[in-house]
Amino acid sequence: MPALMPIEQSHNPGSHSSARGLAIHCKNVTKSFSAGGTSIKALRGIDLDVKLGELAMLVGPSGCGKTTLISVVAGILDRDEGECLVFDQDFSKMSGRQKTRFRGQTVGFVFQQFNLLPALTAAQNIAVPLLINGVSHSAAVKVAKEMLDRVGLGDRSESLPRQLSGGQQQRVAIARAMVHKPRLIVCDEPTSALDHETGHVVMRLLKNVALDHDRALVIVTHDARIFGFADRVFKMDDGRIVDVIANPSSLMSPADQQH
Amino acid sequence: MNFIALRMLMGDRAKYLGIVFGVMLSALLISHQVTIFVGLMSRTRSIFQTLDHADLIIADPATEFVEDVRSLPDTAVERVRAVPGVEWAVPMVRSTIKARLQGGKSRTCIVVGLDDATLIGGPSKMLEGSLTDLRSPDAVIIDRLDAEKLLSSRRADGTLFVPGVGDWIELNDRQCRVVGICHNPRPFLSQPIIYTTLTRAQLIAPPERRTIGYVLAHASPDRDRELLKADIAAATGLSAYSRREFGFKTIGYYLRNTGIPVNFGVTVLLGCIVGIAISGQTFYMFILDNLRNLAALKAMGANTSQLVRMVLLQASVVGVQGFAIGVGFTALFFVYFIGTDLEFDLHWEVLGLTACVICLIILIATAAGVMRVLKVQPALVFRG
Repeated sequence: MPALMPIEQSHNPGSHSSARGLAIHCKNVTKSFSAGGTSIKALRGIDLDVKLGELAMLVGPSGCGKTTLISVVAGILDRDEGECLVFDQDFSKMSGRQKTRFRGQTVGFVFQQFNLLPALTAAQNIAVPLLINGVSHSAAVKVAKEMLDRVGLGDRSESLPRQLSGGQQQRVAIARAMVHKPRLIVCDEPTSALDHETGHVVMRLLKNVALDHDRALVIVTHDARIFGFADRVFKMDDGRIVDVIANPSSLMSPADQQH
Repeated sequence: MNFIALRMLMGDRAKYLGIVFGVMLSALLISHQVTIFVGLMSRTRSIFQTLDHADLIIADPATEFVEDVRSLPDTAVERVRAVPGVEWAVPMVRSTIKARLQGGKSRTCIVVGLDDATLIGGPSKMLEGSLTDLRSPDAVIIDRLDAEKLLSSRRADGTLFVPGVGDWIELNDRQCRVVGICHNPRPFLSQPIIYTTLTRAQLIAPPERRTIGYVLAHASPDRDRELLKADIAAATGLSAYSRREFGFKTIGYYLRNTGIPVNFGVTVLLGCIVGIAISGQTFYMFILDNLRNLAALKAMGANTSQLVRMVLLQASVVGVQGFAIGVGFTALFFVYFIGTDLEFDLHWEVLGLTACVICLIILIATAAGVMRVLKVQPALVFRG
């Protein structure tokens, strides 16, 4: 794959690993939204450390701030207060363009509704992050096809999203999230639109293919059936992390554990 | 990113075709109507478009347009010739007469009398016969389309009579022989134009004290035309115009005194409204439908300017395609009607104007979509 352009030497996430072995370091992060004249505090002093090579899950009831937290971590939303470093880089010290470029090179996304472009084939969808980063179309599609092989869909490279099942679409989305070799992959409810069996296939793929020692995965989910795949589960409520579970398989039902 | 933009656009086939259709309809309406408008305006001065030899047209100062013939005194030609710098000057007669057709019907015609010696002011293109044939007795030349449509008639036995070379037609109770068939730019009024010599035209036309309609003149090569026009006006009391000036004077009259520009203007405006309404609305819906995808692209690292460029590329593509198809249909229309009364030239200026209007339509249609793209938040993609 052609090398991606670094955003700046000081912000180049690929140039060195985090000094503390941390992918994400958040300290006392707050975030508020104003709606209808009232201020809603979505994050109320979040402390979160995610290590390299770790699969972390953010769980909790709707409206507890999970999605806001991964949006802040991924540089999509700006925090109000506190400190949040991603691979030792502080989004608050970057310009909008630097932030966008950092996100494009360092973060991969897996969305709940897959968000594959309906007019593009599976291979072309996977190539999108490379195209955004300026890689030529032919080179990007070549790499995308290799990635499609890795998620077990090598024979579906020319299929449009509508020709794929939900599970296959999510595998394409995972391949898209990995294709530009990001060091952080954030997943928003990656299994909620899938049945039990397919959800497990997707999680195994994330755990075995997407995760490596130099990359971190943060997954937001409601789906208790997949908690066992996590290295740590961060339980959130009312904008705070209320519990950290280091042995999450205990949260799964016996049937899911057996599965 | 261009590839993604184009696939996004063409992937939503219904909206894509809808937008192209809207632009195409606008381009068709605008180019078609403007071409006819320009053609009609051009026809108002067509009688003088063929005067390749004459620099100047001298007319009564009160004359407002070509058909507004105000007869000049017979001395006008000599007085113009007497002005220093006039190389030559010839009279031209233009009268309205009745032609009796086979089967008893009659038709109002315009008879144009050309200077007997020079025949200056004659038709631009002869299809049969020659201009000098006008010097034979009772000779007239008629236009092919006039012969086929306006001067043709049913005989008593029901057969169609289309006058041709060698046939006789009756003009104001005088028998005249067709000696030539010409092809002229179509006139604005739907009256056949019949060419003959000045002397014969004065015989055919109803008796009047003054018969000369215009004087056609040519300036000496070393004479400034503007100064010569002023000298002619001062010496004769008449107005001298270049062909272009007289043409635009005529067009100005029709623009000021008829509903033609308003009628065509309304159609062009409707074309613009249809384009903006159909294309703008469909394009905006297309953007709205793709907001989530655009947000996803933004989350994945696409910056706002990349997204705006994508939208502008999409708008440009539908604009160019709609324009090309629209003016293509217009061109086909006029190609189909070549050689008929509906023959109009599709000028590059009309294409340029249509392109400018289409650009404006596309800009307006795209503006709302671009505003949405500027505001799109990548966080949108995380909302269920």
